[in-house]
Amino acid sequence: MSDVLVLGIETATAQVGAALVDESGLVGSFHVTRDRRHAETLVPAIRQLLETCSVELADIEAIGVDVGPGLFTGLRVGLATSKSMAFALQIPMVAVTSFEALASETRWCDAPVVAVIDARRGEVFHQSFREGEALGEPGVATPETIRDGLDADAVLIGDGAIRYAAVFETHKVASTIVYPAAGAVGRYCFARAVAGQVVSHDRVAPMYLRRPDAVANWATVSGQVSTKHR
Amino acid sequence: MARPMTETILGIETSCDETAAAVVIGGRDIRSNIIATQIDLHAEFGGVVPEIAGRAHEQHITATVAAALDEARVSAAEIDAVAATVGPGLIGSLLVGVSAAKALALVWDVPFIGVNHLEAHFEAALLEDPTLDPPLLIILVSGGHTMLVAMDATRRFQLLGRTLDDAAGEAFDKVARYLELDFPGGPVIDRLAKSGDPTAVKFPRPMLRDGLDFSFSGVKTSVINHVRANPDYDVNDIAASFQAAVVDVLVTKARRAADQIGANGICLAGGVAANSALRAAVTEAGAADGRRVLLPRLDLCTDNAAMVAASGWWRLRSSGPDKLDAGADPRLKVNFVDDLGL
Amino acid sequence: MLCLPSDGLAATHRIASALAAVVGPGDVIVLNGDLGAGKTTFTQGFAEALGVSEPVTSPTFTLVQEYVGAYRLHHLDVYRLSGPDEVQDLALDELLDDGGITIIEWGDRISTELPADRLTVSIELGEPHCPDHRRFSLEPAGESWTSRIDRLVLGLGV
Repeated sequence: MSDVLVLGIETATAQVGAALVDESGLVGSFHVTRDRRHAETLVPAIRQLLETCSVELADIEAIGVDVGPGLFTGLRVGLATSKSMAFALQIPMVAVTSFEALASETRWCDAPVVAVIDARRGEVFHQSFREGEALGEPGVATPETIRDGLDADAVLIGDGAIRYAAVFETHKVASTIVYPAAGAVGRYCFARAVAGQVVSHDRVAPMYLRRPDAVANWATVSGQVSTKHR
Repeated sequence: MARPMTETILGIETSCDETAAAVVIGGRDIRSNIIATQIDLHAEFGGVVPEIAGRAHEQHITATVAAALDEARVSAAEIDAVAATVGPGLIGSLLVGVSAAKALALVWDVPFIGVNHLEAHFEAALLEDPTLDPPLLIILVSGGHTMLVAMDATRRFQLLGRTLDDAAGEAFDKVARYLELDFPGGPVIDRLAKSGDPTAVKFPRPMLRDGLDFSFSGVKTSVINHVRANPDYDVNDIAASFQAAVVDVLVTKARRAADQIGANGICLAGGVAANSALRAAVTEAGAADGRRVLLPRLDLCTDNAAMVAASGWWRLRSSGPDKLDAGADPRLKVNFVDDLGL
Repeated sequence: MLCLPSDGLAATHRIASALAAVVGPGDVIVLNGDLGAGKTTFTQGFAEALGVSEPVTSPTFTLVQEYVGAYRLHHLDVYRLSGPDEVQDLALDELLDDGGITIIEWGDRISTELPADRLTVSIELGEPHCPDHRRFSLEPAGESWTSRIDRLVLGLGV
């Protein structure tokens, strides 16, 4: 593929962003950190970005999207928007996880990197990388469990590392890499697209990493009823 | 700006637990009406779980849109506008349809139209028979809403009556939940009621004689009280008696409202419009009062996108397209007119 | 814990009014009780006492209803929420932070997401032969509620 142009979409956190990337690097991007208005912001901002960068929709060769884990509603706005655009433009997609987007900014680092994303309830989502390449599967754990398994020289990134900085105080926390950035999503997806690692929009699914709690604890609520009929 | 009367509109509906897309031409000609229902996903929880609904919408939205275009045999280039429900509904569900619709409108370079889910329901009955002349009395009965609405020829709406506590469909759902019936409760109660005696228990008809507003919470509580005091109750009789109380109040007030506005016809709308006892009672009332009655077929009673496309067509005419910075509003209100002068 | 009997709608509304007289901005009230116990009825009485003029309808379908009286009133039903993650998604933090009063039906389900300082009102149905009877239990948590329960009792004259 030559003249590849990729649109990257980032809505996995309270922030909203999009970026255009080609072989020269970042063509343009926007990134809004306030108000959590994913649905309102994303589509008009993409249009504005295209106009400002003098890019036609038809020039886009692939759409990359951060599939999480992250904020449920934000993810759904990003996924529904990117998949519908890919469907309408009849172009392929690249799915990037929030871990990959975060770790892609640490390729320079030859120490092991652990992307740690706040999962609330005293837990974090985590995945380990070295030079941008994943070392293991994503998981959910308490910060203390992660700390106990860390290599001495490991570097931590992500909002979970910041939130639990006290737990990780014996390790280096890269405090500038907190949230996945639209530019990082775009650059990562560009590299994957050039390598031919694209998928159809119907193969792109969000990474929630947690099932809805309803599946786990519904019985305790419906247990109130004493009569039974079918 | 004069617009052709024959715009082809893609409608998208994701306000609750149905992922739906439809193609409707000119606000009335349904070319496709695809509904991907999630009932099975929610059945084990006895009700719609918002997070499960939102996830399923995200999963199915693109394929549902593709199916609507395929079945209608229209190409993307033939779509003149994309309409989506922007509210009221579950925020995590609404956002999926709104985002998809705006993305499609951006790529296809056509207008986006944000549609009010309730106004779309008002339109559903007329999709069956557009020849019925307003003013019309619409009985909207669903899990989230119960309203009596007057509609004039220009699609202006006046609220005549509404529930002051639970929606009719919610009363069905909660009574079914209490009786531990399968979800969704409405159709199960409808089915059980067919083998029961509607006069077995005289449940209250709240506010039957006063005005046009409703109260269903008390009926629900009466059922619960009766069941607690009579552990050997017959579930069929309870279903039939409860249903009779709800239908009685709905139809009595609908007739009163129809008389008040001199309605040419009565339209049923919303999920509870599928209830067989309500359909029979409204039909009977229409015959007795010499009024036409429109009972939408079942796929137009439940949440669907054909009504969204049709409502979008009217909205495009009355207020033009919406901007792409539109969001979803889970508590969106209908823009009712105070008095249509009927 | 304060236990109060009610023999019907009027008594329920008296309890709700007494509670409304001691609430202030940012308060969180959790409402527990079986189907038909009268959670929405209690909220109607509470809202009326706060000067809300429009009808308070069930929040079951919309999850959140909003009213304006002496304070902004958020009325939530979280029965169908799948868990704390979703609460974050609904921006409950912002809701709790806007200076209004928040009443949460089935709020126990999301207790980990709620401020420690809150009042829990539990409603129990009476015996089957007294369908109008209810038992209200008011359980304060946190300093501000503990001190206010006394004022509430005074207001009720019990």
